[in-house]
Amino acid sequence: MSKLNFAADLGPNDLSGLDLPVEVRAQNLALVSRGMASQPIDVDPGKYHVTAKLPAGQQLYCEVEVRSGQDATAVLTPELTDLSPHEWQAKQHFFLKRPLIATNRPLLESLGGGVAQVKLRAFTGNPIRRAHAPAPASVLRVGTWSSNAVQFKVSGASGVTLIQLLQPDLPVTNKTVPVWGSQECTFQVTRLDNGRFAIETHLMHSAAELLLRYRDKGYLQQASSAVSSSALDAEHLLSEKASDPIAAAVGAYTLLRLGDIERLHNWTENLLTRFPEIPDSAVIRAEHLALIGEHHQALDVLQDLPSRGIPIFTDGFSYAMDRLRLYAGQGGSTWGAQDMDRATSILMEFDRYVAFTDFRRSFTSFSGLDPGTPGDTPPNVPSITDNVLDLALYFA
Amino acid sequence: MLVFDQRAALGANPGVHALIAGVSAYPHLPGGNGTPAPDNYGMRQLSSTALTAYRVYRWLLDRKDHFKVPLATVRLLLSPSPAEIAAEAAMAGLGEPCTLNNFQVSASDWRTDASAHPDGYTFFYFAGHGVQRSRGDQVLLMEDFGDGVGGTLNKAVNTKNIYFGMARSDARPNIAQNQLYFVDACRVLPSKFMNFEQMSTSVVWDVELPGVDQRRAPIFYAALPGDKAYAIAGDQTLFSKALLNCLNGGAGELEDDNGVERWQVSMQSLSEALPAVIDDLNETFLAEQEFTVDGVGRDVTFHLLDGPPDVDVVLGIDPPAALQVVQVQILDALGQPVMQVPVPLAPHPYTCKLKAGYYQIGATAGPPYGQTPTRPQLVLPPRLSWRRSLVP
Repeated sequence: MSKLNFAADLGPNDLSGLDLPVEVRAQNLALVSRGMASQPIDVDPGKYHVTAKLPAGQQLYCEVEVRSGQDATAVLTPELTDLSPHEWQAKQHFFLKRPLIATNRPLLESLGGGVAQVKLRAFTGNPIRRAHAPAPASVLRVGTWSSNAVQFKVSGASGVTLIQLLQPDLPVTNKTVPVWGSQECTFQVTRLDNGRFAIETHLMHSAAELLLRYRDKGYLQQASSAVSSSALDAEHLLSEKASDPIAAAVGAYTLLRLGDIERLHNWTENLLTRFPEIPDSAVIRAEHLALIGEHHQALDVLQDLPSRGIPIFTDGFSYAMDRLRLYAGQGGSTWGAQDMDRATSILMEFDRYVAFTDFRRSFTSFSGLDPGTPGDTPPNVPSITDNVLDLALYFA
Repeated sequence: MLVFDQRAALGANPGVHALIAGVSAYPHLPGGNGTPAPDNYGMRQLSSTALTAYRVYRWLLDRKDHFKVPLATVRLLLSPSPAEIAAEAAMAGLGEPCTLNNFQVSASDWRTDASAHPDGYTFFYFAGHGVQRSRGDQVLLMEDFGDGVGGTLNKAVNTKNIYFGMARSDARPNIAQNQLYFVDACRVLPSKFMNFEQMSTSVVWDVELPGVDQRRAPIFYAALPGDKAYAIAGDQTLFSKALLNCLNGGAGELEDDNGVERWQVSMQSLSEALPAVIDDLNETFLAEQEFTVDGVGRDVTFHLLDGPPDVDVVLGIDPPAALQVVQVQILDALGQPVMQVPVPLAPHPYTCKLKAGYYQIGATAGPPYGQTPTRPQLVLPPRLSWRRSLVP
């Protein structure tokens, strides 16, 4: 047996060193193994096909020959045409389905007037309980920008829980901010071909975001491998030294989706105990309890959800709503009227958001000028001047 | 209505129990022959959903010996339009109409059969009108929707009620743990629904809170929350075209099956392949359909293929001027040509089919262009896009 190593290189960008799920097949295409690029495997001498797939659809492929007594390395790189057009665009390019920047279209000259009207606001606090307030615009720190995209960062230290995108003729978009403690996350606002603006969220933890995008794209085989990577080790992520409960939540949601209850073991309890301020810790723990049949305990955990706020991840919002609806409509000898009323009461606090939430997004996203009162009325952008970051300058 | 029954032959062994429903003819919607609905919410007659359900039913019968466990029962509810019956005479009198009562009865019997063995499979497919009461919801409209009896959604059911009711419970400790759900309907939230408090659907069954839920139970929705699902009028829904394409090999993968390498389709391979196939259909029919997968569970293999599936291979060459002189070569693992690719390469991009496998693909062109050497290429379902730029 010889050792087959893997080296994945996505180019000089902020994904350098990212561990990818790889698949190894024999010459006859029979599956040999699925794992992570950081985990070498032992193989018999012969030729092997090694592939890796990215959430946006790019395929990396390498044919490698392993000789007797000699280790070999499969080097996986994207095709030249698949490389990210800009280093700072790597996550957008490799993780999301449709790149928001056309890379092979000639730059067009603006033929007329029309200043881009697009603004950002940030909020702290909990809109569920209407205990939210605008944050100073200075919490939104602009980083890199091009003629069609602006990236900015938000730090958890600022206490910001929501970002708001305002543009004419469209409902206001509110997005949750996936940070904890002093962590940062990145948002990118991109001008689309139709002149409108879209906003995407990127986690600081690249491996967690990779896992999230695999899952959202339906690449469950890749997600199943990626959730096992050392970068997403729960013990490490929930430790005092390297706390990253956001990444841990991504891992936990994946295991819930895959039905891998055994691997969850005490992960969800630790997440809830150590990070009670994160709404998703309650949802994850409740869903875990529900899947093992502990429904009363699950409802007890969900009782606290309104006081924690809106789940950061859309998965969390969906899980919570589905469970609460099930419990609110439940009857029978083991589930009394009091339990039904409790579930109904919690459901009513979130119900006003459900009709205005975009369940297609990975991070909870809902519309409404006032985050405490969701709605779909387009804003009068020019009249909103307090605590805003005006992005018109960047898109001029 | 039970239209296929092999329970006696199966005995105590696990099997696949299917419930398939397709509704095109809605008597109370515009164009129907019943009393007009108090509000039709912009919905009209459909022209292909019953036919789609029929084709899914036919596929199950045609492949009944190629599932992980044998096909045991099929219950079929069809509400076809006259045009669909004219197009497919075999549908006439087949199954029974997909009214609420018939659906509830069939679903109850389906669940009873599915409760016989935990290693069994269930297969649920619905094609017809669908709405949402809130985002993340999915309501299925039965044939008698809009009959004016009871609330607006009295003749409608909710997928989550079905899903939660199929979990293992004290009453059904041996219910099949491999459950496949396909919901081929829109998920649009009619604006008028927002004027009402939560509108209730009819329940298919009371849900007992389950114990440990370790089902392998993915739910494939043909539309994203808030979006529409599309169909080719008088033919088939886009999602079903993609689904059958993938089940027939577009989602094929070579995996170990009890010590034997077999090409097969699993739920995870299906989830991975569907986006590309749906994208191709979107391009062909100028649609913008996307699907999503909900539910839980580890991977489950469903369909065993006969051999390596065919893979669509799309060949492209840049620049256009090179098309007249380029010769694309496709060689097998032994270096032998597997097909003759035309010169000039037309139509462009050029599409052909290859059996899934390992090949070497390259291109040679006359002056002023050179050669792109053949390089190893793994050709796997659902398709391969191969494109090269020739430099003078």
